[in-house]
Amino acid sequence: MCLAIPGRIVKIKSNVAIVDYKTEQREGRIVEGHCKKGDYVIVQGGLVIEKIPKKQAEDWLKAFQK
Amino acid sequence: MKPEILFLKYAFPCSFVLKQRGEISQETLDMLENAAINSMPLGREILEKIYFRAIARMKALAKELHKDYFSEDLIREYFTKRHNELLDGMCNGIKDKGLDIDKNAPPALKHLCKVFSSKIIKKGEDYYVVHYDYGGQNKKTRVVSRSLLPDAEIGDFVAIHYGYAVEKV
Repeated sequence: MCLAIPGRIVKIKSNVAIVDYKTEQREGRIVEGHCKKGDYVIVQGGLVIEKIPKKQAEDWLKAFQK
Repeated sequence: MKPEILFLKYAFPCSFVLKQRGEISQETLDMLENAAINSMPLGREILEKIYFRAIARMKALAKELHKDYFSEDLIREYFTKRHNELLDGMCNGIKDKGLDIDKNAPPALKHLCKVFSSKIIKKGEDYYVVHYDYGGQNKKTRVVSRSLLPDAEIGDFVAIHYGYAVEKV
C-alpha cells in the first residue's frame, strides 16, 4: 500500500505552513483546525489535510530511513 | 465514466507517495495530476505500470468475483472495500507482497490511505470539509481538495481518499 510520509511544520506564516520533508519543503494552507510549529502533517493539493501523532510520525520516519 | 478516468481519480491521491518513494518523477506526477483533474483517459498500459500494486489486487479480486478487472464496478469494489480490508489486515489468506513493509505502519497513516464515504459540511474556494464515521459513534473531520470533484455541494456524500474528494456516492 502507498502509505504517505509525513512532513514537519518548520514555520507558519498567517495560515500557510512550511512543511519540511528532508528532501524538499512544501507549503500547505491550514484551513481547518489548529497546527503549530513542530507538528507532523500530511499536505496534499496545497492543503494541510491531517495531523499525524508525533510518536507515530517519528517511528515511521525512522523505519523509512533504515 | 470511462474506467480509465475513474481508476485514476481513485488512485491519484497515492501518487504523492510514489513520488516520495522515488518510483515516479515530478513530471510524471504533474502529468497524472493534470489527467486526473481534467478527466483525461490515460492509456491502460501507463496506469498498469505506475499503479501495479492496485492493478495486481484488482486482478485477484476480479478472479474471485468472476468480473472484468478493469470495469467501473470492479474499480469501486476494490477501492471502497477490498483496499480498506487489506489495510485492516482482514485478508490474511491473500498473498500480497505490497503489504510486507506496511504491517508496522502507524494507524494514522493507514487511516488516511483508506477510502471513506463522507458528507460535505463546508465548501471553500478549493476545498471541502467533510465528516465521516469512524468506528461506532466517532465522527472524523477532514479537509479534502476539490480539484478532482469541483462541483459537489454541502450535504452531498462523496468518497474520499487521502486529501481528495473522488466522486459522489
